[in-house]
Amino acid sequence: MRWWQMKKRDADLERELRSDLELEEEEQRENGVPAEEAHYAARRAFGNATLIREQAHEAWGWARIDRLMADARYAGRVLLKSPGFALTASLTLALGIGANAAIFSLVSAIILRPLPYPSPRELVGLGQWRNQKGEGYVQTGVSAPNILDIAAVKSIFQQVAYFRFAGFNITEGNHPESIDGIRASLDLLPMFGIQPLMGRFFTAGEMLPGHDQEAILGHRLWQTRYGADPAILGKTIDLDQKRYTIVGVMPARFRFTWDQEMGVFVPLALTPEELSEKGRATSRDLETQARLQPNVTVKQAQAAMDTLAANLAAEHPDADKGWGIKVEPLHAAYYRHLGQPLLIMSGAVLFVLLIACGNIANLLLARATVRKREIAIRAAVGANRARLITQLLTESVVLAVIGGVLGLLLAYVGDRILTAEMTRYRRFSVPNASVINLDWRVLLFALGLTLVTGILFGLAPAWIASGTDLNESLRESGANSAAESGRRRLHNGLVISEIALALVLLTGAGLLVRTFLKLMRVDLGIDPTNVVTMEIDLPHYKYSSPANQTLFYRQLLQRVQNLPGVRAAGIEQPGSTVFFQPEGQAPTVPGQEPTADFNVVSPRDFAAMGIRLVAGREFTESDSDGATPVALISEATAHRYWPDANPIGKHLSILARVYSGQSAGTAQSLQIAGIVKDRRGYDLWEPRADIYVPFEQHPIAWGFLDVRTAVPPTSVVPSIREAVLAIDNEQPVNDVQLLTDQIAQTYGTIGFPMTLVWIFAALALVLSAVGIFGVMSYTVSRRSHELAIRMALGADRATVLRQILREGLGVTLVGVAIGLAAALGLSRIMADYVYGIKATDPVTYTAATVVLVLAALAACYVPARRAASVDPMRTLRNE
Amino acid sequence: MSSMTKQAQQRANLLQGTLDMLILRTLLYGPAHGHQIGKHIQRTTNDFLQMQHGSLYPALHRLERRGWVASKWETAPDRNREFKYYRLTEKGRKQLMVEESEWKQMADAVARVMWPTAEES
Repeated sequence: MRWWQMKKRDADLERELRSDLELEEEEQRENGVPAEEAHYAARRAFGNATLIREQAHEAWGWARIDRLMADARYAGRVLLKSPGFALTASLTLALGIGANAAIFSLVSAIILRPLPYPSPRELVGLGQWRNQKGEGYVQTGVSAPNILDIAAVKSIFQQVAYFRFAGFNITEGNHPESIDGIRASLDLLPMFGIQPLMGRFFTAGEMLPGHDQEAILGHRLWQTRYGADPAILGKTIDLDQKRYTIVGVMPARFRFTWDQEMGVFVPLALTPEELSEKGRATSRDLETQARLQPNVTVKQAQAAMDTLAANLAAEHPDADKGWGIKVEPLHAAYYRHLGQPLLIMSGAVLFVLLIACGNIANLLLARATVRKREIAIRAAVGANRARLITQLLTESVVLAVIGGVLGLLLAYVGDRILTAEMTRYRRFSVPNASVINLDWRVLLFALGLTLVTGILFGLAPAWIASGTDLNESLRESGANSAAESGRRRLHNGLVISEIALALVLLTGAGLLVRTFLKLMRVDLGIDPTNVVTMEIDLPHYKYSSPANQTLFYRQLLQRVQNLPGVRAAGIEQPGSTVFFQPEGQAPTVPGQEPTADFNVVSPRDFAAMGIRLVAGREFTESDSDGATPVALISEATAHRYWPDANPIGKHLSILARVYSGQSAGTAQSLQIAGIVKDRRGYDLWEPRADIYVPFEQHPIAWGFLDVRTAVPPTSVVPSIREAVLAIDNEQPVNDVQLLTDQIAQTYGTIGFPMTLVWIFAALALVLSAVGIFGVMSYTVSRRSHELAIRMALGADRATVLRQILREGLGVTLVGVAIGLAAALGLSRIMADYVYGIKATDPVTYTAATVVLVLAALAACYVPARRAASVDPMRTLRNE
Repeated sequence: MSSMTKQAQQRANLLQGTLDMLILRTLLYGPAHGHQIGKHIQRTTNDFLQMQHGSLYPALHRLERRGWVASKWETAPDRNREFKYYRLTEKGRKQLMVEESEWKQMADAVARVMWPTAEES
């Protein structure tokens, strides 16, 4: 029943009683009774109004609620009477619940919110994968002929769609703009089940090369660039100097790859080469997604793909041997890399909350002793044990609710911070990062958590408090008997669990801190100080021939090199992964070809980036188009594929690119001219296997210009821009970044989640130290009598001090032992996130133990001092 | 405990099980408000069942919750004021019959134990 209905019913009863009472009074008066007497006589005849109301409530089935409200009111009064306790407890809880709600809002935004399409469970991502020597699991897109074979399995898939990401320049009008676009297959847009706002999807005819001249606009581009023109259909848009007819506009709610708003979609017309048998090996860069038939599970789809992959490997061993086809829910494919970190974070905050609960349970236990008389009196006037427990539990739930509300405020702030941090580091690639908030799932979670914690920390103290022996507690006098020792066991048990939990968190955080320190000291293979990089992308409609492209970069490098303040300038196109074959070695089995990152660089780029030569020679100007094709390899490549020999002077040939549609041309033999240091960029964890080739022999259309300066690098940027414009006055320069900033970004991406875990661990440490402090203080105050007798009998202060510290230490060590065992058990979860150490790193475990034990001893010291300063005479006289 | 209140208590206990039936029986004459019901029971039993009117209301609400009576605020013709009138529902009428027959059986049974000779002769 709703509370307003209850109120209404209560008012109704009131009215009924009043009207009948007045009638009684009137009748009495009519019978000749004097007015005043009639008034009282009527009331006497009626009986106790409050009692009637209570009985009526009982008749309505409200008694429970009445009692609950009374308990809650009483709990409020009790808490108000001890504001210190209420404040400590609710703030502790607020920290615990707030941290949990904040991390849960991440879980909700990333994992629980379904993809924003109809029947999102049918959507899957497809990829080809294999186990790569030296690298392990490698996943790519699916090649075009393989996609056709997959789509033929009609019993499993409704649609199989593919796409490529594409950036476009809008090359018309007065304000050129670069936009994100997608080259989409016929089925891609219809597959998501969201109809265009106006217009239509692509047709089969538009998927043929030469006919792919239609465009579908994203909602935002339609609004910003075309002012939501209702007559946009049939108009044209020039992308990269190619004219497209606009045939559709997508609605605002349509998001691509879960949460991105794309500017434009154009048809992806596969080339005859990509569709040919050769394409099986060279077009593995097609991002592939599919919609399952209703009632087909991912497992069934995976089984069907396993069979298909085996068939393909048998029919086309050159391209498909060793490759599997992976099916996974599309949603899971987006958050795959975040599952484990979220689990670790959730575990960390849960531990913090459990420790907080332990502390509050201890506080409640201590209070229960103080309130022994009050509870005994309640029991004496007839409250049974269930009734007492209900009332005490109500108190702890009221506490929890206060903590929960404060916690939600904290979580709100926490979500703001999370959103800011996640969007600051672009490389987090956290989908939905901009909508981390307190949605209904988080609120529900917080509510559940609040009630559960309230009962969790309240139940044991309530059980023990309500079980008090009446006679004993009314008879006054302090410590004695079995009840007291049971209580102490519970106190100690709580502290032990807190310490164990804190130790698990501390070791986890310690592992991450050591990892971070190791990563900070990792040799990046480059010298980032005073280096600025920028992206230059030559449009193919202007620089169509390789000769044009090379000429541009040659001129640019010359000019930049001669700018004042510049020490070295280079151009690089960082690696796409290639298969290669070290010549002179036994040919590798298909599917196990060596891979490396294929980088195109100019001679001075090593100087610009600060990559040191280990052996052989660097590239020079004479490594030009007509000269012997050469390559440099990194140390990792050398160790991995020429483990026993000196690779310099040997040859390697590039077979194909793993992901990209561009085939590497005919297998070209490259002579290894030198070995350079490994570099680490995006992945700090592992050095990449690199192959470098000179740009004069491998023309490139886009690349990064790397410039090392003798002066602050930003001061040179304007003159670099001028140098670019001097060669081509339309050529833009994008993405100007300091190399130091890029590296800070990389570390920040790792550092931020580590900081979070570290904060949680510090919280756990403080909370558990407070817990020990509380329990030891309580113990000392309860035992002042005993201690006084000991001292009166001759124990000196040092002995008492030592004894109390020893007791505290004993409890701590039990907790430490359990915590170490638990941490070792959980260490496997951390294995993927440590670097340079094992997840069972003894240094970390020792350090965490020492920190915790020291904190515990410090927390014991104050109460121990107090115990030692007991004045035996006074204490005993007070008894 | 004085003998006065002891007597009242005994009557109240007697009443407990039968109060519902008495209320339902009273309402058989037509709708009435709480005060009338109380007065009626008191009068017809020659003041033997002299209850505090207050105890009537929880009983009335219990009957209403079970759907045996329905209530409505109506103006009393003689007082020109609104009272909460209760009337018997169809369900209540059936319930009354059940309770009545149960009560009869009970009374017969008790009578047979208490005055066996009267029965046998």
